[in-house]
Order: sequence, then structure tokens, then C-alpha cells
Amino acid sequence: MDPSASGIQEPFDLIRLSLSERVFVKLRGDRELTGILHAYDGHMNLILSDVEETIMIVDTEGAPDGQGTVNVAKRRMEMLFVRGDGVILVSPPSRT
Amino acid sequence: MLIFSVFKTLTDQQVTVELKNDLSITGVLKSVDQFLNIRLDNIKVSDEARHPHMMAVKNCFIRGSVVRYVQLPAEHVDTQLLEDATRREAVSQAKR
Amino acid sequence: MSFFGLQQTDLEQDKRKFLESGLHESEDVAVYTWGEDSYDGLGDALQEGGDELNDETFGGSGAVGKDFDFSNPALPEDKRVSHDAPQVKREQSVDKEPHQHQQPSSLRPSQPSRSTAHSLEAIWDDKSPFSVLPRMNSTSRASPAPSAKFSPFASETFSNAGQQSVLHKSNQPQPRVRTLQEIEAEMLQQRSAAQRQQEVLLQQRHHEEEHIRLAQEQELQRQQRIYQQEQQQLQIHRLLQQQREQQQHMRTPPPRMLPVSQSPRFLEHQRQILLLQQQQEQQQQQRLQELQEQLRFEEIERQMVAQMTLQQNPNQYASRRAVPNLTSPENQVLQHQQLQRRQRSQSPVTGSNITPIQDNMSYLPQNIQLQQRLLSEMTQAEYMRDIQGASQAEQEALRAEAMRKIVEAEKMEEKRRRKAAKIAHMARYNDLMTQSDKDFITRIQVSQLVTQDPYADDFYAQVYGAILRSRMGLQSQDERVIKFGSGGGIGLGLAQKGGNRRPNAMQRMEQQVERIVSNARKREEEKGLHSLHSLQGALGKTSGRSYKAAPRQLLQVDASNPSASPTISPAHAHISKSSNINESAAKEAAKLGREALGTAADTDNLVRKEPLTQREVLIILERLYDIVLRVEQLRRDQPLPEDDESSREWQKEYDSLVDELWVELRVMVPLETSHPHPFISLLTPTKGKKILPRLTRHLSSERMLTLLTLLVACFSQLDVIRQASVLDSNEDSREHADVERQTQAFLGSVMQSILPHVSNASLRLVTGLLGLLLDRSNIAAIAQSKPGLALLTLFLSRVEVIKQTSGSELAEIPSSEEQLQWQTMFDHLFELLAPYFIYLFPSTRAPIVVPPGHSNPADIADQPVWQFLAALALHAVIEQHQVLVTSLREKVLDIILSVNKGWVASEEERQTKLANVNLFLHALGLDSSQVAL
Repeated sequence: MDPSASGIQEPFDLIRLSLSERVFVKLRGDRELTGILHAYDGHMNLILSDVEETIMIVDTEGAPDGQGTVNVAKRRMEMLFVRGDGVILVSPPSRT
Repeated sequence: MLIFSVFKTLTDQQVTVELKNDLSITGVLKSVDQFLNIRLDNIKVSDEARHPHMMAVKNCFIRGSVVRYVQLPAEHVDTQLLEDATRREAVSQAKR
Repeated sequence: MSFFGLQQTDLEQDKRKFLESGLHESEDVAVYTWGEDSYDGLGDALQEGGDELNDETFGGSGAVGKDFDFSNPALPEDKRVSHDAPQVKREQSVDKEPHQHQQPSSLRPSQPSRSTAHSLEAIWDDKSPFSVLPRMNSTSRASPAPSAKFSPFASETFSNAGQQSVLHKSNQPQPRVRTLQEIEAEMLQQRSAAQRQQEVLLQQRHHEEEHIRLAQEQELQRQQRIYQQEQQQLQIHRLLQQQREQQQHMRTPPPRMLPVSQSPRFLEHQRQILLLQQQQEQQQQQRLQELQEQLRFEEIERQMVAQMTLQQNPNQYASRRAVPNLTSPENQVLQHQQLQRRQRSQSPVTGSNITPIQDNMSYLPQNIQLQQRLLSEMTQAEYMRDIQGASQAEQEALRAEAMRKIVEAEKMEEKRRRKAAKIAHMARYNDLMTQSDKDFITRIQVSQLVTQDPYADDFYAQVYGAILRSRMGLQSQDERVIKFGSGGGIGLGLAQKGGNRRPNAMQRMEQQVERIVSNARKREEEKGLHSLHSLQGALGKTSGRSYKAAPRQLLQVDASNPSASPTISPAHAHISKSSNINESAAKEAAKLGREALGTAADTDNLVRKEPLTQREVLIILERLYDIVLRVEQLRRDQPLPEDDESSREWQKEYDSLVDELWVELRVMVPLETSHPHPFISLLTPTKGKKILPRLTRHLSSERMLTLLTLLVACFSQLDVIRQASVLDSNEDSREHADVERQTQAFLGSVMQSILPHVSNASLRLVTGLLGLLLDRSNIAAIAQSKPGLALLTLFLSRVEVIKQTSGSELAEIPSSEEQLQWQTMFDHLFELLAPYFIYLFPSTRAPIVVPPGHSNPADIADQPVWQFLAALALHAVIEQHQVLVTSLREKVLDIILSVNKGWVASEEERQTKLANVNLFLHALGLDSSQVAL
């Protein structure tokens, strides 16, 4: 385990492990993406392929006490560049 | 310089830029700079009705910071090369 | 003073004498009596002229005429040229004055032919026509009669004479002992009188001269237009050329630009202005000189004529010349004008001086001397005409042409002036920066973008461009690396249409900047080196360890566990000779397989570990990627084979990297270390599969063999094999897609990388590998996966190739033993697969309900199976053929039926089906046509 542990030194190294793998990205504006990560840089700009975008739309008009329904809008894109200033987190896809 | 490098290879390709104000512009990528400012020619706004003020605009310059996504043509992107370039960038970043 | 031979005087004595007794003439001490008779007259001998103007020059002369009024601009300031012109004119006029006054004085000594009476005063004599002239001018202004003027002159002359006579009175014994003060007072009185007279005279002279000057200025202006027809046009040309040259190199900055001392432009501008002024001054001085010469000539002539007229009888003169009635002033005026015109046409220069005089003549009262003057001038004119000998008509023509030329010149000048104004207006903000400033800024910008190593920052673009170019089949130019500059600086992309000139400039600039940057970096490095390395160790090596801790151990015994991976001798397919043919095929296979593995299967010293976690796998893979990238970069930097030194070094570096690669690949890890084997685990992610061909490119064939063996041995552990059944489900799930992608990646990368090595494998090796596979894996499962099928097909086809080429090839002829072994192995394989033949087909495993009219994808999926079966049939013996046929009869018949009956959606499908079937049938020695339905 020793030689392996020395591999990861900073958070960007973790992201590096996910290169070519499917990742889950959370963005600002209640958006989420899953896609295969092909490129990233220090600003967290990403280039993903086979992307599915999910936009959360909260409908608060359902009930007065704030409990609204959540609608989602999904989109697929073959190749996408994501600007880093909108990225909140990057992680491996949630394994069920 | 990675993403700048990628965009350099995509000039004269059709891309779709989605801005942070939800405006989506499709056009031919004419030039890009180190701040990822984009120049598009022959633009077409995806939802004309919502943005009528863009109807007369043929070419535009987009400040890099207002971009959310850029949809790229998958066939003009070499994912393997992207990953390699990212690894190199990561290595050089770590060195610095 | 005695040594000089002079009389020794006693100062004390003299002083006493002086004080006691007044002044005596016999005294040795010289008493300075200015203007006294005892004056030795040395001052008279001093030839000093031009003192008349002293008061005027140094002030106190009263009202200043407009020519000398420097406080107000003489002319409106519309153009710069006109700025200079009045200045120059003023200078000119200032210049002219001393000239004028020097003229009479210079004329005086140069006119020995004159009568002796022509001294300084003679100029002002009544008899001289010249003396009349200034008086006339002043008369026109002031009212006093000209006769009244004579007296001041006369008195002046008298006073002058008086002065001089006083001065000239030398050594007249006048026993007037006046005190200094008295003398001074007298002198002052005389002086003031003289001054007053002088002032009056000067004023008159001023007026006269003003008139002259005015007239001459006007003439000059006229002259400039006329005289410049030929000469000044040239000058203009010259000036324009100069200006053009100046514009090319250095443009004159806009007038609004504030003179900034740092700007080199301003200095240039000043220099240019100075130059221009100097040139103009020179030109005008030249003209001045010419004018003056002409004036002198005229004066000479006039005086000559005057003499002539004085001597001659005016009446005779008149009758001889047949001049019309002179009495009427109007006629005179007319005549004068005619004369003027003629003279102007003939010699415009010479006539100029006469004309103002003639103009002013119209104001003159009747005067005999005037008439005489007129006569003299007329004679002069006729004289000139005679000299030149031109007829009146020609003169008119010349005059007309002159006029035309003048007009044209003016027009041209006007046009040029307008053009120049336009250009100046457009260019008023030009040249705020010099070329060096612009270069400076450009160098800064370019230095920000230029990189020493184009691969460092611009890797993607460079390599992508290289790939594109290689794809397009273009010859790669000298360097595969696109130097910065062809990209245009900004990301304008690889396609450039017309920028042929720009790249050159950019390249040059980029080269310069690179040189500068690299120099700067070297200097920095040197500085750093010098500062640290040169001083390091200068004081001797100081110890690096603190003395608080225990002294350093000399022997360091590491209590680490023995290496988990014992060194393994390379696996050789060691086939013992004492193999018993009677042993069952299975055992044989197992044995062979184990032998093929060699000691790798040795379970001694084995440390069983958990299989690598996903994270570990990823970490190792990324490390592998790093090494591969370094290797690839190293290959790009490979030095020329001629350079031995660096080649050896490069080779060393390369080898070490490859060793690192090998170690990281975990191939040498014992077989049973984990399930799956680390190597297999590494191949699980897609990027693991993808990196394999890049890796194997650098591995030796020996190592590759080991790798291959390991792969085959652990084949069943592969994810693609384990998850192959997912593909049969035919769903559109994410898992399905993933497995599909993985399988494709495997086939594309891993199989591709081992292909060349299998293709060169010996029969023995193939046999061994097959045995290994059969031994360690469930062949049925393997065969029902695409990768497994591909592998099997690979083996079979290789053997087939060996068999076919064994006749021609001399090198690799398998021994009978080997062939026997192969056959045994094959039989074993066949045996194991026979019950599953039909299930090899994906279509059988997962029957797809295809709506009518749509092409059946199963045919394409079945194709590899058919290929395998065909290969199988090639090695099969008769009995095996029968088995094959029995198993697959229905399938084949179904297909042929559908083809014949036309149950196919497209021609393409029909072709595919037929091809599949025929492939198999041909291997059996049959054909689809033979099948009877």
C-alpha cells in the first residue's frame, strides 16, 4: 500500500485518478452532470464526453409550507467543455 | 494553457456556447485567447424568441468568464490526447 | 624703468608738482583733453563707420517704425511658412540695413572715378540724384518742403564738418586750460547738438529707408513669384523631396504635440525646423545678395547716367531721344509706367528698383532735377533695351508667357499646399511611438506567449496538428513541432489562408524573443549557480547532522520482509522429452500449461494479497501513464545515432524508464498472488486497456512473451470475460454500454498489442498457450465471449499459417513432435467445445426479434463465430467435421433458406449471410450451393 499511498498528494491528484472514468460533477445553479472525464486544469475547467446534464427545478408552489416538487430536466451532450468557475465538486459516480 | 490549446485546434468548427444567463449561441469558432474569450461568426441563437435583440447580430465576441458550457464536436476531439495533455499539465503544475 | 632706458620719474615729485602748480603744458603727464587741440588726432584716423545707428540699435531713438517693431507680429500667422517668412523678412530687412549703409561706404572707396568732391558728404549733396531720393520719400509723408530738408542736411554736414574740423584742428596752440569738467560740458553740448542733428537725420533716413525697404519688400515678393519660375521651382522640388524623405523616415510630429523632452521626435522636429529655416534663410540671403549687387550696379549706372545728363544739355538730350512732352506730369507718369513694364519684362530685377522710385515720382512737384532724373532713367531703360536687343513683340510674348508660368506655378503650389494640408491633418497623430517603442511592446507581448518548449504549454495543439497532418498524409516538415507563430499568436487555429508574410515576421520576432528569453534564463541560472554552488563547500564541508541524536549507524540492517516477488527466471515453454503420449490429453494440456508458466506458478514464497482496489489500480495506472509519457517524450528527443555520447546516455535513460514500466506493470508478480492478478486488475479500467499497446511498444519480445503468457493464464479473470453475459441481454442499460465499450477497448487495444507476437510465435508456443488456456479457464465461457473467441481464432489461424508456410520456410519447420502435440491440443479443444458450438452464436444465445424489413444485426455479430468455426474446421479431421456439421446443420440450413427464399431485408444482408455460411462450408470443403433444399 505504501507506494500507492504516495501517489495522491493533493486533491487534484484525486481528480486525476478519475481521468477516462465516469465522474459526477455538481455545478452551480442546481445542475449536475455525469460524464467521462477527459481533461481538466487548475481552474477546474473540464472536458467531458457522453454527458448527461440534470437541472433541478424546484417548484415551490405545490404547498405553502415550502415543500415543493422537484422537477428535473435532462440533456445529453456528446462532448462538453465546462468552465471551472461553475464547478462545485467532482466525484466518482455514486455506486449503487 | 491546456484548454486554450484545445480550443485552438477547434477553430473553424461549429460549437454551441451556453452562457451563464442561459443564452445559447451556436456559431463557428473563429478565435480564442488565453482567457478563453471566444469569437464566433455566423451566430444563431438557440431560442430566438426569448432573445430577440440578437437577431441582427452576425458575429460576436464573448468574454470567457460568462461562459458556462461549450458543446464541442466529438469527432474533432482526441480524447486520448486530451488525457495525455492533462497528465502533462498536472505534472508540470505539480513541479511548480 | 631705468632698464628700459626711460627717464626715471619720481612719482612723488610729480604729484607734488601737480597739486601745487596747475597744469602746465610742459608737464610730462598727459592730460586727457578729449576734443582738445592737444589731442593727437589718433581718434580721427580710426575708420569707424556705422555709428550713426548706435542710438537706434541701443535704444532711445524715439518712435520705432513698423519694421523694427518686434513686439507685434508683422504678418497674420496662417501658415508655418508664413511664420518663418516674416521672420526671415525681418531678418532680411535688418540684414539689409547695415548692408545698405555699408553700401555707400563701400561704394565710396570703390569709386575712384568719381570726382573728388564725392566724399561722405557728397552723397548728401544736392547734386546727387541719390540724395534727392530719400528726401522725396520723407517728403511724401511729412509736409515740410524739400527745401527745408536741405538745411538739416546742410547743417548736419556743416556740423559734421565742424566736428571734423574741430577734430582736425590739430596741435593748434590754444592756451585754454580748461578743467575736465568744463571740457566735458563742452563736449556734451556739442555732442547733444550733434546727436540731435543726427537723430533728425537718422529719422529722415529711417523714413527713406523704410520706403525703400517697403518698396523693395514688395518687389521682393513680386520677384519671388517671377524670379522663382525657374529657380524656386527647383527649390520647391528639392524641398518636397526632402520633406518626402523626411516623411519616410521621420515624420514631422503634429503641431499640437507638446514638446516632450524624452521624445526623440521633438528633437528631430526642431532640427528639421532649423534646417528649413536655415535653408530658407540661405535662399533669401542669396537673393538678397543678388539684389544688392543689382542695386549697386543700378547705382553705378544711375550715377554714370546722372553724370552724363549733368554734363549734357538736357534739351539736346530730349530732342535726341525724341521723348514726348515732359512737362505734363501725367505723360511722365504714363511714360514711367511704360518704362516700368518694359523694364520688368526685360530684366525684372533691374527694373524693380527703378519702379518704386518712379511710382513715387507721381507725387513730385515739377522739378528740373526730376526731369533730369526721369530722362536719365529713360536713357537707362533704352540703354538696357539696346543691350538686350529684344523687340517689343517678343517682350510682350515673353511677358505673357511669364504671366502664364506664374499662374501655373501658383496653381501647382496651391494644389500641393492643399494636399500637404490634408495629409498633415490625417497624420496629425502619427509617430507618437517610434519604431523602437513599438518593437519593445511587441517583444514583451511575444515573450509572454513564446515558450521554450512548445510541448510544455501547447501539447495538445502540437500533437493534434501532427496527427492531423499524418492522417492527411502530408509530409511532416523539418520539425514536427509547430513553432509558435504559425498559430498566429492568438488562437486562430491551424488553418491559415493568406498569412504568408506575417509568419515570417512573427518567426523572426519569435526567434529573437526566444534567444532573449533563453539568454535571460541562462543568466538567471548562472546567477543562481554562482551564488550557491560556487560558495558551497568553499569553507569546507560542515557536518549535516545534529549532534543531539545518536551517532549514525554504520550498518543499517533493514528488518524488512523478504521481497514478495521472488525473482523468477523467464518462463520457458519447457517441454520435457519424456512426455508420455499415452497420457490423457487433459493432463497433457495441464502439464504443458504449467511448464509454459515455468516457475511462475510456484507457490513457494507466495504472499497472498487482496486484489488491488480500484483506487490502487487507478494510482498505478496514472503512474504508468506518467512513465509512458516520459518515454514518449524521450523518444521524441532521441538524439541522432551519429552522436555516440548522447546516444548512449539516451539509451541508458530509455532502458531505465522501460524497466520502471515493467515493474509497474506487475507482470512478474506471482500468479496466485491475488485473484484477479494485479496485472489483470490493471487491465480492468478502460484506460488500463488503452495504455497497453503504448506500453508494449517499448517492451522486448521476451518480456512480451511473459506478458502474453500471463494474460492467457489469467484470461478468465478479465472483466470482459466475466461480464460477457451482460452483452447477451441486449438491453439499453448503462452497464451494457459500459461492457460494450470495455470489450471494444479490449479488442482494439489489448488484442492488437499481442497480435504481432502471436503472429510470430512458434508452434510450440501456441500449443503451450492453448494448453494454458484450456487448463486454467473454462473454455466454453471463454469461447462465448468476444475476446475469448478472438483469441482462439488468433491461435488457430496462426497455426494454420505455420502449417501452410512450413513448406517454404526453412527456418521454422515444426518437428513432428510438435505437430503431434498441437493436434492433441486441438482435439482437446474441440472436445471441450463441441457441445457448445451452437451456443457460440450470439443470435442463438439471445434471439433477437427483428421486425420485418429491418436488417438483422445478428449476422454481423455472428460473423466472428463463423470465422472461428471455419478456422476450427481447417484443423479438424473427418470425424470432427462430422461433429461440426451435425451441430450446425440446422443453423446453416436456416440461413441458406432465408437467403434463397428472400427473407432478407437487403442485398447486403443476403451477402453477409451467404458469406458467413460459405466461409464455414468452404473450410469443410463444401459450398452452400451444394446444399439441396
